[in-house]
Amino acid sequence: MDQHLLNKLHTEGTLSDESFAKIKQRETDGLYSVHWELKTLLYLGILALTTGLGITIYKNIDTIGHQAILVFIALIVIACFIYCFKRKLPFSKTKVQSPDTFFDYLLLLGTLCFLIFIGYLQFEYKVFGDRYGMATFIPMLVLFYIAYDFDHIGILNMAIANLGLWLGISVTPKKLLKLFDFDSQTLTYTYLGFGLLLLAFGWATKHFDIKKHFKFSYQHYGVHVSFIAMLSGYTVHYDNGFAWLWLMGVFALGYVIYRDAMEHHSFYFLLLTVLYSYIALSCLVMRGLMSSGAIELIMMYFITSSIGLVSLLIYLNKKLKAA
Amino acid sequence: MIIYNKTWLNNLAVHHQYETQHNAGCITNDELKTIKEQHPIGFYTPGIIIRVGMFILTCITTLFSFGLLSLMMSTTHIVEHFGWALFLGVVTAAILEIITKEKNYYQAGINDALMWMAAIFIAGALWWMLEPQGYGNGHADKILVSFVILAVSLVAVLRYADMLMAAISTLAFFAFIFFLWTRFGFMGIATIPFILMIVTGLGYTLLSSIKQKIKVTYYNNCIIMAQVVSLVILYAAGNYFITDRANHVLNNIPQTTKLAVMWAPFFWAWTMLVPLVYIGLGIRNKNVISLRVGLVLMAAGIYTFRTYYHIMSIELALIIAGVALLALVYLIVRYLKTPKHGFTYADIDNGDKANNINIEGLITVATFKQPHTHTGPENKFGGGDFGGSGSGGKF
Repeated sequence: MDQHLLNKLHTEGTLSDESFAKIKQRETDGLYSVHWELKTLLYLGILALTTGLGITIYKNIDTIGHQAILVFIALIVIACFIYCFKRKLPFSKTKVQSPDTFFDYLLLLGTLCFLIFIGYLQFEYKVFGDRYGMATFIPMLVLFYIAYDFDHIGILNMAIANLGLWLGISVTPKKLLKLFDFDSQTLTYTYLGFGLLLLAFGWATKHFDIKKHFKFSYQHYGVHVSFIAMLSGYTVHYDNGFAWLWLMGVFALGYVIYRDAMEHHSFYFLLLTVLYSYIALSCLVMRGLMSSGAIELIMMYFITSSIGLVSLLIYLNKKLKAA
Repeated sequence: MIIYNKTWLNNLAVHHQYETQHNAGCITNDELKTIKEQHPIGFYTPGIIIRVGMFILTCITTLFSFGLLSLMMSTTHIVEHFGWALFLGVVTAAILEIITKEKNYYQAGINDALMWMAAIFIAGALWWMLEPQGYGNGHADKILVSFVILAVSLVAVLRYADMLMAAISTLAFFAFIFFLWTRFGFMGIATIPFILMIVTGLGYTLLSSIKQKIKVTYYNNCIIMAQVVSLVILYAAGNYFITDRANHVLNNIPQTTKLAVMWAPFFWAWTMLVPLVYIGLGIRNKNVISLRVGLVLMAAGIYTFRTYYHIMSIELALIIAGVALLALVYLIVRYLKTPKHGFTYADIDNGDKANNINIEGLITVATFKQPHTHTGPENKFGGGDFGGSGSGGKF
């Protein structure tokens, strides 16, 4: 802290007496916050514990004594959820602050242990039989419930990943899944649907004003999944005469995301939509230039287009800041 | 020396200081606004996300331009000479100088990309010039390479005050000492751990005094980065695992052969105790660098121990470590319920809350995907200095 400047600001009247006193007080307190360190340790502890439990289950899955481990895991789940239910603030459609430092992490620990528990039950006792869809659907519902009721974005992210898993498993016939032979065409359509569904969720989150701060997560996955699904749709159908329609889809979605990013001041989604559209554009241009076989032309294209895109980013950045 | 407008750099530092005060609730919105208006900044700094985009695009532009130029020149065979790489590097550096001055780019992505391209090409060309044959075969090679990287990165640090470049140049300096000593020093291989300990220790103290002494703040982040690297290397020099492996490599003995490490008790003590010393000093002096580096290195120490002594299975070790960590955090939070000895667990200067939460969420899903794979904290070891550098960046 530059004392000279601080005094100058005070005497000039930029800083009020009250603020000046507060800054001085903060300096004399000299408090050092170990907040970041503690959170990291907490996170690592949960990571170590759940990984350890996971490996234990995995290794001892067919030996005696696993019931004890199961009970131990169940106890962790129960303890964590008792704590969280006791401390949790009532559900609200807006953001709910966590009641204390431990809350979010214990909730995470409880949820992860719950997933290990379910996974074990399925493996050992086949509770869901061969219905793999059910085995992922139930945990997904629970995850979504926890994410919304306890307002936990980390668990929401896990729930979204689980939704993707469930969709992927449900559309792929079991036989193919066992042979690890994924039908890329069906998967492309499924994941395009998944991505658009997430984008719709994101929109609804904002529109109906339910947990507005969850929008970022939905949109983040939605944007990546939809764009990647459409670009892979293009490559899968490369030889089809209508393959370019996939790229048109990229541009159309890009425009929608662009409008949304501008409206909500999101540099992140702005950059994503620019980059994905650029990939699509390059696919089209390359297709045209490849047949001509002029490598110089391709290089020139990349030089000029990337310079153009930099200027575009500079321009959009300015526009977004002014908006 | 530094290319950027110094007044603006100073003003930027003022902005950061008073933003911290604002986040801590010491000054009002209006006051922050007035202070910012009184200290204008003319840099073009678009923010981290756009910076990443610009970086990628500028790399594309540069690489394809190099490719196109080389293609056009390919018939003349000039491209097969180191001078061509040097020429490309120097031209990039010149463009960097001009546009940074003209457009006032500061952490804008464009200048970052050009700086790295120029540095890589110039350093590469110099190496090519000095060692025309047999890359990476002789020992002299490594001395030269580390020296060239050191020279180029040091120039870049002084001119552009880039943190990552500072880390590279510190690493290159220690690598230079390492290769020089193992080749020419007194009983090279046997004494190198101690030489490195001395050099890194001196380096760290020297950097601390430089940070105290110099009036300007432009290089603060670079110095912090260099200190983090010094502390990590200081530890690594005496780490049992690293000494053991280096012993094999430097003496050209296969890793499978068992070799007795001289002074083993000393190295074991170093492996386990130095992280604790770092943490202790960090707590006593309220030194964030030493504390965080110590925490990361403690994981490295435990990992080293487990590599040699399998006293328990990995999963049991993980469960115990997890429970111990959770208990430790619980005890610290209980202890610091009211701030003691100037420590608090409260988040006193929380920055951009909304962003932090989102990032945390994404990290959660990325690390917890498969609970039964090996993603324990031991993996911290490989990314040791990276974790350290990350914490340095946050400071």
